Amino acid sequence: MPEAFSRRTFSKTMITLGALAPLGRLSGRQEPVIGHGDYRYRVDTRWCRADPVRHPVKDCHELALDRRGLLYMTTNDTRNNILVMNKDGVVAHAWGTEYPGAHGLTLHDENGTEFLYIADYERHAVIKTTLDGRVVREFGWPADSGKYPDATAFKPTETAIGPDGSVFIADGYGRDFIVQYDADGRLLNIFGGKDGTPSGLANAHGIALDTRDPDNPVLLVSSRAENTLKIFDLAGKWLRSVPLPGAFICRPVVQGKAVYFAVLISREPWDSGSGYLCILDENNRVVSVPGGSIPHYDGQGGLATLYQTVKVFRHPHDVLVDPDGNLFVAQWNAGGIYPYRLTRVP
Amino acid sequence: MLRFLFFLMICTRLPAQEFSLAAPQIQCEQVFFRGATRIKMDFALEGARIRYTLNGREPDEQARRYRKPLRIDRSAQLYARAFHPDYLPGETAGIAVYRTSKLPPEQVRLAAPPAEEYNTPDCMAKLVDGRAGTGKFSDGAWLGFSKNDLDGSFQWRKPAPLRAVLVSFLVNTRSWIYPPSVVEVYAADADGQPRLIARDTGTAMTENGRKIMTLPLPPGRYRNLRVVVGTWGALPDDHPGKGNSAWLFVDEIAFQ
Repeated sequence: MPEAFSRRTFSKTMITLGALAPLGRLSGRQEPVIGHGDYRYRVDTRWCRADPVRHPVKDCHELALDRRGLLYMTTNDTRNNILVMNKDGVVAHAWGTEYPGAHGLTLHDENGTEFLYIADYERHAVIKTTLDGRVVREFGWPADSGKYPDATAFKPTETAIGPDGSVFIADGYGRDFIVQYDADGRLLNIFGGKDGTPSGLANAHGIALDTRDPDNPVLLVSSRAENTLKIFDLAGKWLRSVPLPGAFICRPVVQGKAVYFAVLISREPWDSGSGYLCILDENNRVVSVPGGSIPHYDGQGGLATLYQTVKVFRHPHDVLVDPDGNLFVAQWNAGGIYPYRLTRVP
Repeated sequence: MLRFLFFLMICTRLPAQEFSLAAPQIQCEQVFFRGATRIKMDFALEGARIRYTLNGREPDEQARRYRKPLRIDRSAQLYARAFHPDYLPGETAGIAVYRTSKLPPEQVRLAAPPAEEYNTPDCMAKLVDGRAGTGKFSDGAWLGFSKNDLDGSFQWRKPAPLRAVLVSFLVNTRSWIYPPSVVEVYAADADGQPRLIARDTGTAMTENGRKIMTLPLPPGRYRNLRVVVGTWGALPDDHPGKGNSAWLFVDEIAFQ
């Protein structure tokens, strides 16, 4: 028997529809999907449920994921330098008040125990902690290297852990060297630096261990000011460069066969709000540019300059890839925006 | 049933998150040109259209659609914008192009060189090559002056009918790059003495970006012109680099 349609029901319906009518002006506009090829995403800018009063942020710098699926984020707000969020974007807990330059964040499993390596450019050190913030060790400036006059010249931005437990630190805001310590903090090697050569670096913002070829692990280093990814062997010998014109790349993030970058800006000045993401395949060719231009290579293998097309991001600073291929993006100088989630579209 | 239909209607009409588009990319062969120049635009987003105007107005969805590189044979101000059905209209990009005299100066001299790193063998030729620099002062197109003013002499073998001098310079105050304090143009009078024929100041042009200063000349024919582009001087007291000198960056001096 059909539902009765009373005058009261009709009136309530019409009033509600009338109140929602302004939303109708947008009907027909599809939820945008950004990216290219096999790497396309829907954007959720409201994923993170953090309360700015309880868990304030300034710049959101980097992200890491533990084996329980909790997401860690560095911010240079010393009221809570580390925010820990669950998969629903709820802040589970927060800690850290002594990291004014909390920037790089690397999570590393060491014989079943996970540790964080926090690169702090204002403390001029990388601080290794447990997941709940207990300090285990501090890696300071390479005094014995002869490359630094004092600690203040060392402004580390990122850490990568080598297969043997070596700690590679990128001094991205200082002298652009890559400093290698053993797990106990003994200096082993130093390479890179700003010298204008192919093996030199300019704004060595990020570093990652790349084991996509398990027989030949290499280090990926972002020479951000040169818009170039540089590849070194574990001894610090420069192997090759991957030009990424128009891409001021932050740290490389290796997941599966791909390398992901948050691209802070596509053109100066540094606050141009022109950022996007960039994804490379197993051959280090750009295959997707979420928020940016369609990647195009000419007949000689040259990549056309990339640029922002859709203003999804202002200054993306790090991208985290979860086991399902979804992305989380933290942003610098973006008005205290919390991370976005990008859901991969099949 | 009614409740279900109502729920369905609301779900299909809730707005998607709204993003706007960035500005199109614009490339120009020569910003300062004698005959004609070409402007190429790009916006590599599937389904997007670039629309543009040449009349100084902001493009809307009824403006001319860009389909292929534009041939421009007169001074013009182009504005361009990207449109796409799934996004809010984009930022506007613009470029001004200037048709210059068919008679370029045959000789260019600088009374004092630019700063050492910009004092290349072709630095004087760069001033009249028609090519504009980018917003990056280190892109090779710019001449940088710190201690000296840009004091250039331009000579024509035959008197050239000219009506204006254009000075193209960069402003980026965070990088210590300031506009000219003053630009003066001198012509030789009948006795060969230098005579001031045009003057302007750049003190109000402190917004960052590439700027053009146009100095109208008295109508006439000229064989020798001296153009002095004065540096700003000391950085302001509230500047982080106070106590140091500001820089002057010029990429072109053109004549119409």
